[in-house]
Amino acid sequence: MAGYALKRLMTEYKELTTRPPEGIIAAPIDEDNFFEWECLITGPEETCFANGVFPARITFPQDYPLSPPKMRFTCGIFHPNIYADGRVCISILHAPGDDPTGYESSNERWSPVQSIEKILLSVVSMLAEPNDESPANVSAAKMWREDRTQFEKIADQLVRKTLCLPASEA
Amino acid sequence: MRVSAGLMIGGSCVATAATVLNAFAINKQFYPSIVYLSKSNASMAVLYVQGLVLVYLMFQVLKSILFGDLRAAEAEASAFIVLNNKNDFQHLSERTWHAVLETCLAFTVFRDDFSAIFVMQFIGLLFIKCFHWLADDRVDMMERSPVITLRFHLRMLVVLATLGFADSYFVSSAYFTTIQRGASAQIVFGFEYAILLALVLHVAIKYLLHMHDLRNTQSWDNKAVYLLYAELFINLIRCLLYGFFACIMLRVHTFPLFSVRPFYQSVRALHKAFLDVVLSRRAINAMNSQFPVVSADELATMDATCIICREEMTGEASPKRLPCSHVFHAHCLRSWFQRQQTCPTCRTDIWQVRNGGSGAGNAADAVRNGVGNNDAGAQQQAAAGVPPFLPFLGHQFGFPQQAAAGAQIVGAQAGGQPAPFPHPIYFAPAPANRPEFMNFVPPPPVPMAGPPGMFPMMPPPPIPQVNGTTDNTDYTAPANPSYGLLTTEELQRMEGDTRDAIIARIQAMDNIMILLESVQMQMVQLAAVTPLRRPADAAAATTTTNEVSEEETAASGSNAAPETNETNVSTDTPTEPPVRNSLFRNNSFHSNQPSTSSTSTPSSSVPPTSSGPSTSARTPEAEEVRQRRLARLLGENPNT
Repeated sequence: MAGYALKRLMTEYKELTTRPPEGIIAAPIDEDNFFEWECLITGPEETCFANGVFPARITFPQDYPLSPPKMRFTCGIFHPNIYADGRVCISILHAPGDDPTGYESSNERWSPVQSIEKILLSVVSMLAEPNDESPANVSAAKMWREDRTQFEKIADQLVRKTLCLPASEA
Repeated sequence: MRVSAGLMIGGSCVATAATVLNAFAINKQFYPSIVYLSKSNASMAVLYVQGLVLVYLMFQVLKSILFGDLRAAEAEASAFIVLNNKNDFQHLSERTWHAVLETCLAFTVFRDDFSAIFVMQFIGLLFIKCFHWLADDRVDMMERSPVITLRFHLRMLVVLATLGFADSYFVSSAYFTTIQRGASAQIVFGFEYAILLALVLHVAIKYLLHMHDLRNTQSWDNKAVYLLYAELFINLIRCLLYGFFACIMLRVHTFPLFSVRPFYQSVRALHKAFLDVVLSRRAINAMNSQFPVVSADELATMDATCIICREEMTGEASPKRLPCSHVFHAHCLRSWFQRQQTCPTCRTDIWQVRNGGSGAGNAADAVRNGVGNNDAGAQQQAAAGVPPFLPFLGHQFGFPQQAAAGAQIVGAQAGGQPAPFPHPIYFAPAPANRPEFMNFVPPPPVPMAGPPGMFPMMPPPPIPQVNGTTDNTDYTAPANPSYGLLTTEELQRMEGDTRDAIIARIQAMDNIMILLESVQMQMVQLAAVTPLRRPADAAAATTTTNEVSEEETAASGSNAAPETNETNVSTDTPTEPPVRNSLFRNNSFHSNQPSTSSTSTPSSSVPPTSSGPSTSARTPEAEEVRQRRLARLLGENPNT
């Protein structure tokens, strides 16, 4: 009897392939190991990340629905809520016990109710609306607040990079 | 990374070969060349590097024999260990970093022993540690991997045996060295290996548990519990080891500062493991004994997906219903309770709810006791019956469901569901919308109407009989609350997230709360007097009845002055649930102002089965209870 984590990941994989949410693709990298996923997220419309396709990796713990997975962008995205090394910092990915930012209420923390799809959807909304109150990347948050045009320029370069377009001259 | 490793290995080999050849070219003979090599610092450096490279190669060979291809995360970790390259597998890299740092610190104490052999031992220790961590990860992989091959088991066993053997060998050799030559860095080594031995033991236990689990075809619920116990046990051993080590170091040298951090960590881990065991045991006991099992029939009527494992629940899996009425597999809940004692869906703390529930249970007990011996004890219970019920009611998330639970307790109709809204008494916000409530006709008294001054016995609490409306018959079905009584406007009022809608919803909730509290009060009062009095004549309303009616009004809420209630609620609505108890009291007190003419109204409205129960005579006990409660209410609200 394999672990529940594996079964649940398989179930979610099935759901994600049969009913894929818009703008999101996610699947295990290797079907022998369901605990490492790769996903592609399209940037939300009408934001500076629009049209971009951002690859990320999700690593699941072995007690998966009980502990949150970790998510990491592999495209060097510059965003207030994403660490410089790509780790995503959103409250639903934090277990209720630990509190890296100090003021997340336990209501918005991880619980088994969450799923891969929900995580990715909240990441999309995080891309659309950065929370600069608890920045993971302080310089990004600062730029987001003070120099929005520069921030958008950086985001635009990234979007072009992910689409394999040449960098714009501007 | 591979390329750079290969380059380094190749470069090192070339450099070594060049150095050695150079030495022989200069000295021509074996012995002088060796002397030359050992005297020249540069050549020695090259040779040391070569030694490192050889150890690395050995590590790689061993690794491929014992573990085969490493998974991505593992590979990154081991690559880090060897090349100190940047990597992103945080946990292990951190682990390695701390290990290196701590061991280095430890060796500052024994800096006299510093030599090439020592460095080699140190590196060897690091590698063996690496293997331990890899073995640990590998065992955890058993749970994740869909297929476990025979080769995996073979490897695992070989690894465990080798590591166990190596650890014990090093521990014993360190022990004998220390005995023979006195304290040296060997103490630190021996101690490190002892800790590793404990880790091997842990891995072995986990392996056996996973093995057992794999062999069973159905799920093994107790596995997580055993894992927890194993962790507790190993942490205990680690703590003891650290303590022992600190003692030895204190006697031999000075206080081992470097071991403070790991010591603290292991103590904390022990504490956490202990708490985990205790809390999960409590939660699991509670689950087994108190949370009801949901039958297959019930499952058929609802969404039977267990939100934890995303699988359909079936009857034989005996899913459990939490006090907040969410249903999960028992085994899923069990493993979740080992981490958190909350409902996964709504995060209601099960303790809070359960205590509230048991509070209600106490009240119910009080009722029973009161029935048995209605003296001072019963009065106390009666007086104390309400407060534990209130936090239970006011809980933010669980409220509607708890109301449902409360409904079960009192055998109410559709308690907690929106059905009671249109109840004329409690449905304060909508008098204008529902004119038919105005011509509310009190139903005839029931033979078992309560004793004087008290509410009558009425198993299902207020079921209003509204004039000319037939849809009220729906009320009799507790399982399926009728939503038909809510007019479209009322429903629309509660829709959306505008302020008005929220206020309307909170009012609806308040009404439910009032209803429940009134039922609770009735129960308590009933308990206090039932055995003493038989139902009395319903006609005579004495002067004392005024007091009674006041109290009833207080208990039953806002029936007499709905307008007052409504304004009050709407001004107070932004307050959060904890405040709502007092809010409720205020409400009841606003409505407590009605004149004596309301005598028949509240009594008839609260228990519609008896219009105007009279108090031709009352027991002194009941009187006292009533007085007390009145005094309390008055004391709490100076407005009146």
